[in-house]
Amino acid sequence: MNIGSFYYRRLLSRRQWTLLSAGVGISVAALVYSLISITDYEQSIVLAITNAKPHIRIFFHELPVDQFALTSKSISSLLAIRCCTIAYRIPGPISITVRNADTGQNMYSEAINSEVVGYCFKPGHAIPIDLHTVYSKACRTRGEMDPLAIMQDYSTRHRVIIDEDMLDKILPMAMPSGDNFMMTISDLSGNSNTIAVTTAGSYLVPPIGVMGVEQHSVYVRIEDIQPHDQSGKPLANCLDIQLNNPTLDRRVRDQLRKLLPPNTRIEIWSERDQDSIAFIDTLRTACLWGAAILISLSGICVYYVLSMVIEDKRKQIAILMAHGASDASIRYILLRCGCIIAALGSMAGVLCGATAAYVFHDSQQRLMRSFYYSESAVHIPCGGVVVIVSLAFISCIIGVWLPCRSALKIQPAILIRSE
Amino acid sequence: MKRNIVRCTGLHKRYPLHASASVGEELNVLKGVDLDLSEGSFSSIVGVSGCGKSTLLNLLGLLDTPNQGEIEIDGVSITANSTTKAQLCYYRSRKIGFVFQSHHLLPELTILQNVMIPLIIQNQKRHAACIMAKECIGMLFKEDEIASGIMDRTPDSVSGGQCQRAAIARAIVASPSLIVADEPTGNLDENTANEVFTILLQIQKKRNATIIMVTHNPDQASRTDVVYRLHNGLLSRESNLCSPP
Repeated sequence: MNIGSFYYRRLLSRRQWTLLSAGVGISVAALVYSLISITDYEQSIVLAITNAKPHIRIFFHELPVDQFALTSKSISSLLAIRCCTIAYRIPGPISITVRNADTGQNMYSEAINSEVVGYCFKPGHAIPIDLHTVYSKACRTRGEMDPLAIMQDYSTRHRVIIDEDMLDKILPMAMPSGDNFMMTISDLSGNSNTIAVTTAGSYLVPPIGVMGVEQHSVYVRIEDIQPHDQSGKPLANCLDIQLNNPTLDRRVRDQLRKLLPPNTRIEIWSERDQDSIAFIDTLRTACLWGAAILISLSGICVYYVLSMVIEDKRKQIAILMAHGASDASIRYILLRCGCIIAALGSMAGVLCGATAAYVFHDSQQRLMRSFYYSESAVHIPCGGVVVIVSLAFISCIIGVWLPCRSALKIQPAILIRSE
Repeated sequence: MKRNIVRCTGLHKRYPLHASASVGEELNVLKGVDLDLSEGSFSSIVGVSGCGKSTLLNLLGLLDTPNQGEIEIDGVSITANSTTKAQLCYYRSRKIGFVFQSHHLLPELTILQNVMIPLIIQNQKRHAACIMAKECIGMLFKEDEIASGIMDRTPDSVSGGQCQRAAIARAIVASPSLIVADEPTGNLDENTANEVFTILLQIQKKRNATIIMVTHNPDQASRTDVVYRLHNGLLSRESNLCSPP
C-alpha cells in the first residue's frame, strides 16, 4: 500500500468531496442533457425530413384566423400541383370547436396554446380516413416514416389540426352520411372562422383535407383534386406544373403571393429544412462552447478548492514529506483526488443528464416516435458522452495539477520549524 | 568497537539574509561542523536560540542539504550536489525517524494510522504495518490507555503527552538508523517531559537506537551519553555541562 491510497480520502472533508463532485456532476449533467436533446432533435427532425424527400413543400406564416377560410379556399386551386404540400400556420393560442350543424351538439373542442400547422384543402374533396390509416400502417410496416407523424414531429410548437386523433373523435359520433359539422377556429382577440364539414359514407367529406408529402399521392391523387372541365381537361386556373420542375417553388410562391394576405411570410420548406440543419449546427456549436465553458468552470472550481485545501494542509504535506513521502506520492494523492472527483461527478452527471432528458425533453415526441417507429425512448450519444467525461477528467486533472505544483514546493524543514 | 551511524565532515550551511537573491548577503549558520555518532548512542545538542541547532538537525534528518561538507548516514553519503530529492526522500523514509517539538500528528488520522505512516510510505502492506504500529504503541503506552481505545482516537482527543508518545512511536516504527528529536519535550509540562524523555532513554536501550536530540533542558542533556554545544556555527563536545550562556 502506498501513502497516496492511504491518505487521499482524508485530504478533503466529506463536504468538499460532495461539493466538488456535485459541481462537476452538474456540468456533466447539463452537457449530457444538451447533447441528448440535440441528438434527439437531430434524429427525429432532420432525418425524418430528409427521409421524406419532398419535392416541394411550401410553408407560410402568420395566417390570421379571420383569413383562414378565405385563404384556404383561395389556395385550394393550387392543390393541382402534384407532389406539393402547402401548409399554413396560425399563431396561437386558438381554440377549435366542431359542432354538429344539424343538432347543435358539440363534437370536439380543443384549446391550443401554440402555433397551429395545417394543410391546404380542397372544398368538396373527400379524404378516406381508413385509407390514410391503412397507408400509415403500411408505411410503418415497411419501416418508412409516417408522413403525418413527421409533420407532428416537426416541432412541439406545431400541431396538425386535422389529424387522426381529431377525426377519430368526431367520426364515431357522426351519422354514416349526411351529417354537417361546423368547425370554428377562434383566437384570443375574438376573430373566428367557421368551415363546413360533411360526412359521406364512411368518409369525412370536409372542405378540409390532408395534403401530405409526395407519398400521399396514394390517397391524394392529382386527378381527384384537380378541377377538370367536361372534356377532361384541367381548368385553366389550376397550375399544371410538371414534377421536379426547378421553377415550381418560385411559381407557386408567386401564385400564393397573389392569394395570401399581404405581409404573409412565405417560406419554401426545403429552405426551412436547411434552416433546421443550420440550427442543429448552431446548437451543436453552442453545446461545444457550453461544454468548454462549463467544464472549464468545474476545473477552475476544483483548482480553487484544492488550492485552498493545499494551503490549509501544507503542514500535513510537510509532515508526510519529512517522513519520506516522495514528490510522486504527493502528486499521486492529489491526482487521485482529482480523478475521483471527476469519476463521481461524471457518473452522477451522466445519470442525471440522461434521466432529465428522458423526463423533461419532449416526452410527447419521444412517446410518439417510440410508438410509430419502435425507437428506444432515449438516445444516448455514447461518443459525445465519452468526450464530455474525458473533458471532465482532463479539466479536473488540470485543476489538480496546478495546486500540486505548489504542494511540491513545500519545504518541510522550513514549514515544520515555523510551526 | 561500535560503528558510526552518522559521520559529518565540515558541514556548512548558509542562508540568504534577504529574500531577494540578488542582494547576495548570507548568514553563515554552520561553519564547518564535524560530528560522529556511534550506533546506540544518545547525544544531545545544546546552545542558545538561533545558533543553528535545528538547522544541524535538519541536515542530519536529510530535510535539507549542506552548502558544503558531507554527511554519511549508515554508510550512505549525502552531499548537496550528488544527492537528488528522490534519493533524499528514500533515505529519509528508511534511515531517519523524526520527533518534533510539536507532535505534528496528522489530525485526520487516528493514533494508529499516524504511527503506520512511515511504514505506508515504505509501501509496506497495510496489515503488516498495522501489526508493527500496534507493537510500537504497546511499547510506549500503558495497558489501560490501550484498553481505553487510544489507538482509534484522533490526536485532538488525546493529551499532549500521549500525542508526543505517539509521535515517538511513529519515529521508531520503521526501525530507522537514526532518530532525530528536535526539542521533543519543549511543549510539555515537567512531569510529562520527564516521562517522554525516559521513553527515549528506554528506546535507546531496548532497541539500541541512535538518537540525537536538541534540548534546552540541561538536566535532560546531562542524562544523555554525549552532549554537544553549538556556538558560533561550530560544534564542540561538552565535558562538564552547565547552563547555556
